[in-house]
Amino acid sequence: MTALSVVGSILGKNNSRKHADAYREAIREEAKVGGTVFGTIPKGVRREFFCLDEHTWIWHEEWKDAKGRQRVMTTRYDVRPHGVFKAQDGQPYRPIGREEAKRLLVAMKKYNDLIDTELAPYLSDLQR
Amino acid sequence: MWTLPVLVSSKEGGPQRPTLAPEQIEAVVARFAVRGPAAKRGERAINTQFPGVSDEIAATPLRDGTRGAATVTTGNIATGAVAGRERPAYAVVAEAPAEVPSAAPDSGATGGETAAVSASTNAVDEGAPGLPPAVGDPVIAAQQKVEAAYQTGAQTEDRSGHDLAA
Repeated sequence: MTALSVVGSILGKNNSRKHADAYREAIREEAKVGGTVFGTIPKGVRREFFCLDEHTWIWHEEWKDAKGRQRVMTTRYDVRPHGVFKAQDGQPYRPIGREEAKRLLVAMKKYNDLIDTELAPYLSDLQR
Repeated sequence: MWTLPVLVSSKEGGPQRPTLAPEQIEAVVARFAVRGPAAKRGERAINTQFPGVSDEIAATPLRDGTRGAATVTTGNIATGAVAGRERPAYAVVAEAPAEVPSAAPDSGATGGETAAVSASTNAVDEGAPGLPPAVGDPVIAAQQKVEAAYQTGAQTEDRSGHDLAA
């Protein structure tokens, strides 16, 4: 391997890393926006809701209970052709109920609406 | 809300316009190609699971008397509702009433302590004062969990239409 190809390889990896970081950062930002879908986030609560991939939606909450203990709950909604199943930390998958499905669907749509609204100023130049 | 580190361009003293770095634009475009189809896929799945849900949502009257979106203002997926989707993000944040901490999705309750009890399996150790919670970045954690599940075959799903969890 020549010195030039080594440099090229390193640059390529750095570039790939930069894109991966940007992608992950975009999800983080979406997650924050997604947390507002449910209304005001109570003080001391960290709430994030985001689309992880085409089949997976994540609802993540962190809060302190009455005794001041840190609590965390991550719910993973898994979209399958015939329905949505959810799994919480350490629990097996189970189908969601009708009301939860309705709320999830509204949340998904609002999530996309909000993110599109947030991104509009940044992407306005691209759309011209 | 969007706090990506952005470059701000200003042409000849004109108004400043936020711009994204090339890799950020790529990421945003890539995400657009994921989250849009994901929502549509979710809607199809939910309507297969519960026929007519989309119609019910569309028939929900809006605050202004028109129809087409959810109207409730606060809550969460399992125990509450989703903020009215006809309003922009800033309005939702500014006007939505305060809400209690999340409850476990299947508890039917909205109290924080109830949530804590129901979600007891999810409790984490208390960290030292001033330190961030023990849990890491939820994005990375979620990615790792999904990847691990796929790799180990622990996930009981078969995307061809069968599942073991039902």
